[in-house]
Amino acid sequence: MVVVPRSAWCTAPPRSTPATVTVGFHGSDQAVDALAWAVAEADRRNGVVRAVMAWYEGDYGGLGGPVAVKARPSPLVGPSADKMAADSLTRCGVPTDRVSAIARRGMPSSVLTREASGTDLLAVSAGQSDVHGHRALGAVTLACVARSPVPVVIVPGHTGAHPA
Amino acid sequence: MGWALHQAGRRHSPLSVLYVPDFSGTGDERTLDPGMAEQGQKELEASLDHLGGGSRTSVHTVEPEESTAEAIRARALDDRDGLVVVGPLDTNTLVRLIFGSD
Repeated sequence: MVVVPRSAWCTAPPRSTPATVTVGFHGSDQAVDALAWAVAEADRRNGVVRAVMAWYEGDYGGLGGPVAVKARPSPLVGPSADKMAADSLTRCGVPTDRVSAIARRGMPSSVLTREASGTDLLAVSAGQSDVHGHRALGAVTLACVARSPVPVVIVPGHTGAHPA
Repeated sequence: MGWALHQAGRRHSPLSVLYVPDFSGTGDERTLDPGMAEQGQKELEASLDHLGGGSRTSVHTVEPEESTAEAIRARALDDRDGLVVVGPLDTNTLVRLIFGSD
């Protein structure tokens, strides 16, 4: 399922060279499904994949939601974080010659939509969960759909990485 | 639709367009004026021609008794390499499209 933002409806989409599919990746089975779909889609477009890991180090303030991130040095920044992301891909058996990995600190939906800007697509797992017996989309997925400047592909889990 | 046509060209894929007319009523009560549906479909096909996609697209008009989400799923699930392209939707419709009737 690709949700195309209104801003991209009638205009020729920006074309990154080569075609670049950005994918949110955090190591879960669903994220691996999304990554597998992104790799296959990049193949179809003769393009590349950019896997983005995001993490949030701030405190969650209970009912008030997240509060400001503490300004503290983290070992999970820069090249070491990118290497950690690349190692995660390797562990999942992803061909790293066509997939680059970066890791960025921040709210996942903000990081993903920022990093996807200027690329062709943003692929995310459905982040599905059962809520009182009904399936629901994950909060990060919904936030990406709402905010992304580029079309968002939602990849459901347990489907052989088919997007819908 | 322009975005979908562009992507279909880039992927060398055909494009199947689902035309959802302006129904009167909702759910089991919805009805369709045949004249309006025919006119709407003609306008859609003219738009497709204008965008240069007429020859590689097919158009299906959703019937009043047909669920839009199920109509989309029925066409999408047979094509494992395909993409379902939609505009911004409310969360409930997104969930129905992705997971089925839940």
